[in-house]
Amino acid sequence: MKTLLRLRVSPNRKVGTAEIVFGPRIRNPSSEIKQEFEATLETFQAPEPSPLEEIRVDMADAMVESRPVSLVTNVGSCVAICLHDMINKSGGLAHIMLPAPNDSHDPLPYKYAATAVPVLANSIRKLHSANSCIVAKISGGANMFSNLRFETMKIGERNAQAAREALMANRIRLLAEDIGGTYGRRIMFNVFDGALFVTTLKGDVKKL
Amino acid sequence: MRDNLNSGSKMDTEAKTDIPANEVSLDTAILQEIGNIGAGHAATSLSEMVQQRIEIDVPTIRSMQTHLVPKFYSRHDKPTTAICMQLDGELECDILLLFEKEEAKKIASILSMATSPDNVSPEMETSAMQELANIMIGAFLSAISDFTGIKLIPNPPQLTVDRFDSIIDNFLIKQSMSSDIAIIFDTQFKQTGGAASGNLIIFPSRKLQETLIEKANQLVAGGP
Repeated sequence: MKTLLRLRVSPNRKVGTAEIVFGPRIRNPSSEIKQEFEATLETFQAPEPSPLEEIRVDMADAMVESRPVSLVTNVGSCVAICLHDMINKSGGLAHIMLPAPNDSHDPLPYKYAATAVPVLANSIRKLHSANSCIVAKISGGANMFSNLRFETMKIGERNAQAAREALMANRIRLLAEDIGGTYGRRIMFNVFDGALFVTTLKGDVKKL
Repeated sequence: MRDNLNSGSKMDTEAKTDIPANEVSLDTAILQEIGNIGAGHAATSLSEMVQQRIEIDVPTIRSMQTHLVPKFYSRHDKPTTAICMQLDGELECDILLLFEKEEAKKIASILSMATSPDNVSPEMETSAMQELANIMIGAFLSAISDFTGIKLIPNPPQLTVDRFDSIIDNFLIKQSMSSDIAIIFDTQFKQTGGAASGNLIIFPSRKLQETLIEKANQLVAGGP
């Protein structure tokens, strides 16, 4: 426990951007329920992440951990693919730059979504001899300079789509995603419980 | 095309190593000299605007694998104000002017003649910084144009404030689509008092480098 986790927002700060990923779908909610739901959303507070050791993952790199640590990386148009082994409480994070390699002999598997997912999943499976159940969360794929001529590529979206396809091809379930926008994200992935904290420079915190 | 780009690179491909002075190839020396002229003009224009002395480092040309660039700068989480300009057409090029967020505020307050950095509204800061980029990068490019005779006209600048890694990864992705090696042209400038310091980073395309070298060689040879 070398470094303590730095909390970017004051604990009392209200965050109105919570997303309910799972949960009962309310059909035709009466106004009361709706009001109650909105009130809950308004008072929703960013869960306080427990202080864990932070390990930085570099661009086009990945990290696999079975200890309870946080894997940290910053993404703009890149995409962070977080895989969590629910049974063995371990996981890994890959910071990919591009959808797929031009030639199959590329020495950097973690640079591309298509090659990063199978390699990362395999190295998580290798950590434990027992069965594993790997699920995924992805974040990133922003379009940082909207006016500039990156739009011909729309590389952020393409990266995200490639990540989804790679997960599907490897039969890994995608639990949650936070994609797009025009801002960079700081990704904090708790490999123990699989919680993914996405913070922006403005101070918004999202828990996936 | 990919192979061609990689094998054509005459420069050092190792990260964290600047090219040793005695091993600088002629091409690198030419590019460095062109950059030096441009950066000198850019610093002069900044110094005129803030009415203070600006010191500028001799630009270094670094070439390293694209994905190692954030590690090289190691400013992962630093809030950074970035102003980006692009060159259109065949001679594609991305030019980035980077200041730490607080530095940018200070410069904007000097430019807008505000009494303190806290009095500068975000809109004011954005427009001041964009104007600064226009002038600095304009000076840089026109110096290069005068020297080589190549017309270089940039698009309007765009400003963004974010963490260093998030800003730079767009440019690295774009570079890595054509080549595994990023050629980075990096200059640091700082005010003598230490208030304003920043980086001018240029990602020239292969085509632009070749054109510049060709033109400069013609000049050295003494004929068009």
